[in-house]
Amino acid sequence: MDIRNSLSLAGGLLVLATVGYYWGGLGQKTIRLNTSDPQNLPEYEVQTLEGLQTNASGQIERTLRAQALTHYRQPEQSILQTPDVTLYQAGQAAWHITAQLATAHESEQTIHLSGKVTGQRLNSTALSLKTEFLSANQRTQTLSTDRAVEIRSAYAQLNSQGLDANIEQGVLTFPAHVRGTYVVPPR
Amino acid sequence: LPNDRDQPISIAANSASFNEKTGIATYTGNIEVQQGSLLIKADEIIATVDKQGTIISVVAKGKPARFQQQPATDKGIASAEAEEVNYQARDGLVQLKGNAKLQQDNSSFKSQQISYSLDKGEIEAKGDSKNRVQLVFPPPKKEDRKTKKLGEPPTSTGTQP
Repeated sequence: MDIRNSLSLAGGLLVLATVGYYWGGLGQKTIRLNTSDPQNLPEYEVQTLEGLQTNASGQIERTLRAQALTHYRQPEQSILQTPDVTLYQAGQAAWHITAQLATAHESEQTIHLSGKVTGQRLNSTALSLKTEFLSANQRTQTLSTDRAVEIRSAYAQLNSQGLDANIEQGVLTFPAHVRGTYVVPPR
Repeated sequence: LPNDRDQPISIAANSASFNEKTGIATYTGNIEVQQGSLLIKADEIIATVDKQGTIISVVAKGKPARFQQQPATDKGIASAEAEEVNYQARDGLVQLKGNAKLQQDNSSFKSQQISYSLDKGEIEAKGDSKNRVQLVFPPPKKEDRKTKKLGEPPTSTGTQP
């Protein structure tokens, strides 16, 4: 298994952790809820979200679609229904990430993706990741899950129970039940 | 077998970790690696790859680490075991260290260290004062013994008067 593949995939997913901060207020319909009891009710809800973010020179950095974004003030978090995110590198679509739910905790700079979590690389050799839950922490540059993980590339597939990725150190750990298959490329 | 190298490689282990900076992949616990007729069983396998992902070396450790492979369809399974098996891809060299044993068709080598050159097909066994090199070659079959003089190939038919 070419570890650089898996690590660049993990890096792509990690950028998603910043999604929670930017996507408030970009939806077609923002409903500001009249919250008498701030404890449990969301602060606002955005329906049918479609957003695009560029860098200073106008180059696309990421796009996001979601059925809904619900923002809570206490504790501060945003919940995205069916997030569908594409991350760009140098203006080219690089990663496509989907899940049924994403919960972004701004203060901790973490995002939890759950339900059919998939990550797919678009700008290079085929590489994909599938799991049911994935937690990404922007501050510690780490990804982790205790669920079954499947990573596929052109000539290899790796399955494991759990995954811990430290992007800064460049270390991927598959803690249990590791099964790998590697097909020797045609000479 | 000759086409083992083209077969898919499957690996099972309790856990694994990959370090991009050092290029080291470490598999630990109940490891089984299979490729065609090649089968490796070990407690730990450390594979080092270069920047392009090409294997530089593979070190398997176990109590013992075990290897087996059928070199050709008409040959018996060759098996090897040692506390550490060290494969250096560039030199095409496999070194068995610590209670090393190499066995095929009832012939066997036992020594503290055995080196096997994949390119030259040469085996070198190193012992020490306490653990001397032990070689076992089975006697030729009875029908061959009657006709066979040292160095003569066995005759396939009948026996000489």
